Amino acid sequence: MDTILFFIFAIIAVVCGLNLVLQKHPISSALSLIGVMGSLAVLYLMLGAEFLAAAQVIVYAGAIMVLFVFVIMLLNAGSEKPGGKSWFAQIAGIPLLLAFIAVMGFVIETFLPALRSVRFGSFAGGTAREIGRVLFTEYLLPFEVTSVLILIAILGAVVLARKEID
Amino acid sequence: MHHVPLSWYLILSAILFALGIAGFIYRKNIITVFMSIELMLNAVNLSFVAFAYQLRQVDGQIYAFFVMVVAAAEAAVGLAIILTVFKNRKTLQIDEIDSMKL
Amino acid sequence: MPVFTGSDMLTLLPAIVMCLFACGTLVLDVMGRRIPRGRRWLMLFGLCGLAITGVSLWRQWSALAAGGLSQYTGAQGAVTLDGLGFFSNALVLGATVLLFLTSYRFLEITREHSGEYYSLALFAQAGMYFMATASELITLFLGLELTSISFYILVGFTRVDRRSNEAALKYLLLGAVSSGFILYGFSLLYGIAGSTELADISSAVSGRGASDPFVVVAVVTIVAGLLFKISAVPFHMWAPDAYDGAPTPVTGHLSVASKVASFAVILRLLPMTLGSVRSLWEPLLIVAAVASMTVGSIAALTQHRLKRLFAYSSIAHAGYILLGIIAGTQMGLRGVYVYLIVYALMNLGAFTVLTALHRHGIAGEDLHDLRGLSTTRPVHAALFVVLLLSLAGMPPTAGFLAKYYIFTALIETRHYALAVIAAAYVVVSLYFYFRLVREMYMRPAETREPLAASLGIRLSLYATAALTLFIGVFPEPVLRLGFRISGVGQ
Repeated sequence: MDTILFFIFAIIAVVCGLNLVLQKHPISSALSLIGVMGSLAVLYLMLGAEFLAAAQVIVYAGAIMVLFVFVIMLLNAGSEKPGGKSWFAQIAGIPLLLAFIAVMGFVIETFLPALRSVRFGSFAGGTAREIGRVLFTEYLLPFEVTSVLILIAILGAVVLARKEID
Repeated sequence: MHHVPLSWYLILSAILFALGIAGFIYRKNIITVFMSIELMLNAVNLSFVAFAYQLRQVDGQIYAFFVMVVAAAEAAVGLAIILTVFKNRKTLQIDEIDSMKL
Repeated sequence: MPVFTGSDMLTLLPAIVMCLFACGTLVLDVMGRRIPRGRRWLMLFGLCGLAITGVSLWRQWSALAAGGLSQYTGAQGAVTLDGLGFFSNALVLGATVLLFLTSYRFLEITREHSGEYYSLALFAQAGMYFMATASELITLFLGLELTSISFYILVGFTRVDRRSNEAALKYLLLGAVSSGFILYGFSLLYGIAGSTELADISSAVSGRGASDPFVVVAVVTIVAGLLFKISAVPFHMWAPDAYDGAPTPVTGHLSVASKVASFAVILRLLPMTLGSVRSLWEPLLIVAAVASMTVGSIAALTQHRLKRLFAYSSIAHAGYILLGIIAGTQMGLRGVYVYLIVYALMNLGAFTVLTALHRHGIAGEDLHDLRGLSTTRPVHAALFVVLLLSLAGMPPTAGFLAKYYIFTALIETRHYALAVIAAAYVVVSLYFYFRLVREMYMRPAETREPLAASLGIRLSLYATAALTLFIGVFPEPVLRLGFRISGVGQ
């Protein structure tokens, strides 16, 4: 059952990822990205990260992607025109990326021998209670720093998008 | 095989990361390029969560959580910058935004 | 039970002060809109914040010295106070003070004056505080992002300027990708070590050794991301565009403060944490250093836009600083610290002059805008020449001393080829700095519009040029102070 679920959602993630890269229209890319994020949420759940799975759907697929889709609609972005790419990217890009995947696959399979196999429910450390406890004790400082980060993001959006005052 | 080895999750993460780079290199629409970067961050998150499972720790998940927050902040600022660019130039083609090339 | 104790609060004090003053600036901005010349108070308020930050840094340092400690880790292992952190923070603090002094007039002219500017600069400084002191991957990453996001906004701050937008966009896209790479490397390090603490990572990596491909991939991705942050070749593409389009004072700040903090991250991650796999990252740094000096020096020859020229020059300087890390000895490390001090001074001085060139109706961003500066503003021109001599590494200025340290370290460690290459590019760089001098002294002026030499600009120009000369002639006091703060011994 775990194997079937992994394959279904891994394949959805890869196909949606490919679709993101291949589609010409930004809205199709955005919808594929939501597909990737949704299937990743399921995979998180299988890895015992309940809270993250929920956050992935609510924050990533919900909030961030809505922002993207909103901007695409607002700017009425159309399909992109085929443009000149650099000769290096044309020739070397795809082989290099395939090589990266092959190398990573080889390295992961060969040099991390003691990896566990994933069984749903065997690790349940990612509950909201546990995440909350760790977040507000061991990682309190980073948590406070993120509050500043979000303040900056709000500030930046206001500064950049406001109308001329004078 | 009844159970999926964790390495497959890590390989999936590498594949998604590579797809993100491909989108960054080959796409010409700024918003799509920006979404490719989000895909890269998602791939990184998957690998953090997978390592957290391997180590039976919650720390990796916390890291992924912080990456999400950063991605949200970056998206807000990034889309605001894209809006100002669009206001000034009326285009989203990345190769048309090159007034500084010599 | 409180999570943070009193000593934890002391380790975080400068960052807290910066964030409080950043928020305070925003509130003052709203309250002070109706007060005539209210914006002057914003700058003064910001400077107050910087002064208090300086005092709190000094408090930390003296508390550490009183306890006889060389470093102290607080806030649950997230922040380490040590020489590297103090050095970087002191330098960033100085750069921010000069940013505030030089920005006032510039912002008035571009009609973009608002409290958000000062506030973002303070937030960026808080980010750089965490970059320089973090001893744990999450805090380090958040510090990097805090700095980067503030800088994306500052680079695009003049919204009506097409160049500024474009610069912000390019910086944002490439910056986000580089963060992605760093993060991927961090995730692998976490997988290797099972912890996000740098100390645990250090021992785990040395246990696995440099032949472990997993370590190789992690190191390569992290180095690639970090080289981007210091705009070293081949990850420099963003720098000329971002520098050219950004508001001039921001360009100066970006080229100094963000680079100093990024070098602090490099020093902490590579020699300090991943020192056991030196054989992995040293070749990468050598390639990047040689390529940076080459591309930086040669591309600068043909630039006619001033800020692009300085972008390439700062790419070349990043190459020289990397050489000190490559040498790796005590001498090399000192070279890095001396070079960073001197680089900060001369670059900030040069960008102060560029800021002053920006006048009503004149962008002041092209080479010919310098024409006749020797007759219209002889003092400014003379000081600019001092700074340019220093940038080129000529005696008796501080730039010579910085290069001297780097070269000595290279020769000590038998990197003769690198020393020869570096020396060759010093000669090349002489030419493009001389082009600026020629424009100032041998071409007649094109405009009568006076330079925007406000009090702040004059202050920062005099200070940087005087210090550049002073360090060149009497290096002892400043260098001793620098070594004492950074703890690299005498």
